[in-house]
Amino acid sequence: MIINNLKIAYRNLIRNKGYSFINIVGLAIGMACTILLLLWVNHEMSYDTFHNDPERVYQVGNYQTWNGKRNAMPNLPTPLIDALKEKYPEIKYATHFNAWGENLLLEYNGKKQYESIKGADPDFFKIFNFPVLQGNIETCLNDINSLVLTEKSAKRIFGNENPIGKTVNIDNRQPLTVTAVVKDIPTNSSIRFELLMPFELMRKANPWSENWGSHNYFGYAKIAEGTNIDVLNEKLDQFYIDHVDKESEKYAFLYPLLKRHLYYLDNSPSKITQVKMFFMIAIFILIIACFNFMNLSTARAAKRAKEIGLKKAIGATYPQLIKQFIGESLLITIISANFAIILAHLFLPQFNSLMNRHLILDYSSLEFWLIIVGVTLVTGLVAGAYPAFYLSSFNPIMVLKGTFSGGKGSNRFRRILVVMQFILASSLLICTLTIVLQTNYLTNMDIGLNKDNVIAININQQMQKKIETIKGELMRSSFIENVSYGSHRPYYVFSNGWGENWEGKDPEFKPLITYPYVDPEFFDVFKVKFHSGRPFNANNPAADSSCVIINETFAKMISNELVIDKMIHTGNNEDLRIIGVVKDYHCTPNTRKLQPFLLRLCDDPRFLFVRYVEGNATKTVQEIQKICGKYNPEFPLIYNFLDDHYDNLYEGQRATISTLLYASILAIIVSCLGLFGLASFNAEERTKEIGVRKVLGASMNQLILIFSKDFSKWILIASLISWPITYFAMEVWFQDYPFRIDFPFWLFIAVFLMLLIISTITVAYQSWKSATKNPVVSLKYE
Amino acid sequence: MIQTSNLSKVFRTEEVETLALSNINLHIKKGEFVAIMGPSGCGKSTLLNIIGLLDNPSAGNFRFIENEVAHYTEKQRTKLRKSNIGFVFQSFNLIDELSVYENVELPLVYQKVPVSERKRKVAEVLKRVQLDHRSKHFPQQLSGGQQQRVAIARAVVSNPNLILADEPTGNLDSANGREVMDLLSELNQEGTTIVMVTHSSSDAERASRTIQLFDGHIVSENHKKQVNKAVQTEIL
Repeated sequence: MIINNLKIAYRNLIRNKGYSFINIVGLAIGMACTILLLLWVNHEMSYDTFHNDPERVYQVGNYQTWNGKRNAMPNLPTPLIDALKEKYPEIKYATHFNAWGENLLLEYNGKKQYESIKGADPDFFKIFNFPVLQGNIETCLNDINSLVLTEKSAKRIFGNENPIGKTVNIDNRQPLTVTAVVKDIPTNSSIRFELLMPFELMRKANPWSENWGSHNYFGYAKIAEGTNIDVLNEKLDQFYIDHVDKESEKYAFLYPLLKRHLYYLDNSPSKITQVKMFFMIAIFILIIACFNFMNLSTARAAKRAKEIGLKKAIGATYPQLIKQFIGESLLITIISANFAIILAHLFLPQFNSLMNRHLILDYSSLEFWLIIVGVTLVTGLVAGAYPAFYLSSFNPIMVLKGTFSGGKGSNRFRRILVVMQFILASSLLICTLTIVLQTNYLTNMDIGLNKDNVIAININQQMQKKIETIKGELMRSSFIENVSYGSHRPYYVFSNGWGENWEGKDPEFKPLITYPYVDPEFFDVFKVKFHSGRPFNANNPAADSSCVIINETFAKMISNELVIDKMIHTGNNEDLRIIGVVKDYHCTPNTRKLQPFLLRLCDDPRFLFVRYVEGNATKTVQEIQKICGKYNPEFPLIYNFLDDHYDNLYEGQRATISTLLYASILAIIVSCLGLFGLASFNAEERTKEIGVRKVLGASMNQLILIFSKDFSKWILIASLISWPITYFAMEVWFQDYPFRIDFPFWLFIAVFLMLLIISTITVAYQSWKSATKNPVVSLKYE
Repeated sequence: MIQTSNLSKVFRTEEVETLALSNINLHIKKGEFVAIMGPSGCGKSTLLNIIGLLDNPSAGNFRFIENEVAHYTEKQRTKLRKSNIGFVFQSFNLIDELSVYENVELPLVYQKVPVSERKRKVAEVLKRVQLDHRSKHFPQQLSGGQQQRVAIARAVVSNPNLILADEPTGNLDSANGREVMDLLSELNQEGTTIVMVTHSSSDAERASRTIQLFDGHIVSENHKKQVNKAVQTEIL
């Protein structure tokens, strides 16, 4: 029986090569796409699960109150971690974990390279499980001068040498000795480092960080077995009040590490949005592929009718037939799954570079096979169920008498499926293009300052000492327009506070103010415009040391009138006079609202900004290298072009867009494959009609039009349905963007026309073929 | 009106070559009613298709209303066919998705007849076949006889010179068949040339001439005395 059914299934596959091809290709593309997306989803969901008892690991958070609202912050006062561990026995282990620096110059045996080094407490390896290759993981961070490497960084620094016990020099002043090498950090870890040193050392270097008001470092904790986290969090809520300051408006809390990759610390969605989005797209594409299959199998029903009628007449039962057809669809799905794995394998590198991941098709992992078998079974059953029930329900008497007009009964069903496919394709495309337009708008938006033709140079301590000299020498160059230094890249300032006070301020109103530090040339280098007042005095900056320049947004908070010469009292008990108000510019990425900010003169510059005359980039870099090299010979220069750096801020968004674009294109391809199959079925079904029309004198163009009209109608219906869906979906999406485009309604028409053209091309061949057929053939044997 | 000399038609597939018509010499005058008879597979329908300009002969000459059409392209054939020939098929070949009115209207649409004139002509012809009250119905809602009357209405609506009928009563019971034949006779009386393929000798009785085909050859021709007025005039 099974063999017989397999034989029939196989022969059907071979005999109807065209349909089989469309079915298998459609399913394979859909499944490959779904497999890749699910692989990614699975990877994102698996973050930090590899630690022992990962559900007991938490990030320590800190609520800070401003504007009457608790805001969850990851940066903690340094003493908090020690105090938590000491006061609460439920907290078994706790560690600081923070970058010491991104570009620290590491020297070994005369070879120098920049490395990023992080610091952690000895509990670190008791909380997190990173398998050790060499050294003792228990004690490797005990000594204050120890250094833990990963396989990769050990190779980079020491080549084939055994790194254990070797000493390197950091920034020409701090020797560290390698005590352990661990395996490279898995890609699905949110805790990442390549070089790790004791946090103790960072603490010693920054004694100012030991106060409760300064929030600088991240911390993690592992709680004891059996601890009720809700009860513990209630206790932690009282921590500051009980142990630090009765008046405190800060509250400690623990947030599960397992959720950290997907959610922000305040439990609002971060990566989870993208995960959900891509999961849905994976399902969409699979549904579209399944619809194809259902469409084509029911369309072919008339051809199978005789077989079914005969089988029923000689005693096949309904369930037997259903089993046969489900089996057939599973056979096709399994064949498609094999192609899907090949496709997924071929496109994995592109997918990885798109998503910036290192996913692998791990044929030995259970999860991989669960995804494959799951996708195959679901596809086979979903795609096969309706056709199976439909085909098995044929009336054998009608079929055998030849009065059966197969296929027609399910015509409406097929149309609904095609319409649904195009609803999905159209929605996906409209959403994608809207996101593309919004991202283009954000990247090309005038952010109120000019960042073109500016090079940013990272400043280290040595350069800091000579900053005015370097600046002066650079300014002498003919192709350098101006030079400025400051604390941050001007559009990327994440340094803020809420302690400011001014005359007439509501004491309850505590806005978060951003603090960029600049020099007098800043306004000229970045072409920042003034609303009122003046810039800092370039000839005598010291005279303006207790003066500030604020932006319009901040000025409006202070008063609706002129704010020049008004005083601002800071949280550090300084009184600052406002000497100028600049027009608003974006000091944080323009995915956020305009922030109120306060510009002060900079005494701890981190970046040097060089504006050069357009077309002189190479010469300027050479000049900078020459001059900085003179004053900072030990450290290689680190610089980048500001417009490049700015552009890179949107890299993540671009990856999403590319994935969405590919998904939309695939959705359209798979839909069109189905349309192609359906068109050929339709052409077959309408052979008689075409013949009659031809005999009556219809021209070829008129005949092709008849076909296109039908399909155009479906596309139009699908588009009309997709419009409100996408409009509302995108309006929800836009809520996260304070700066946004108007909804691009023209996309509705554009996408509709695009789908219309694509589908017309798809059905054109079939219509042409049937329109050029000799009508005699179709009419004679009716 | 129709003159063929040594007309042949060969059908070729990859393996087989079939001679469907061989050296057919036929002359049909305007206003004649010709019945073509013969067993299945003798080439009746092939001949009808060639006369109907649906197919080209493989060899020989074919004159249709003063045109040598044997080597016409499909486009040329379509043009000539549209304005000169109406078809009636055994299986009616009505388009299920179109109403009676729309089915009848179709040839006029393809001849680019203006809407108002189409309306008038369709109404006229539907009245003629006594189906004016059914114009909004769809083919499936009609009896076989009614469907064939619609098909005849469609064939004559553009006032063709020639009606080709391929077993017009083959799918009908005798009462309905008679009705259809009456209608065809009537049209012939009014001057329309009719060529009809049939298996039914009683239907063939209605024709002025019967041609017997066998294995692609004309084996006999049988003239009836009664000839309609139009033919008489042509002969005179």
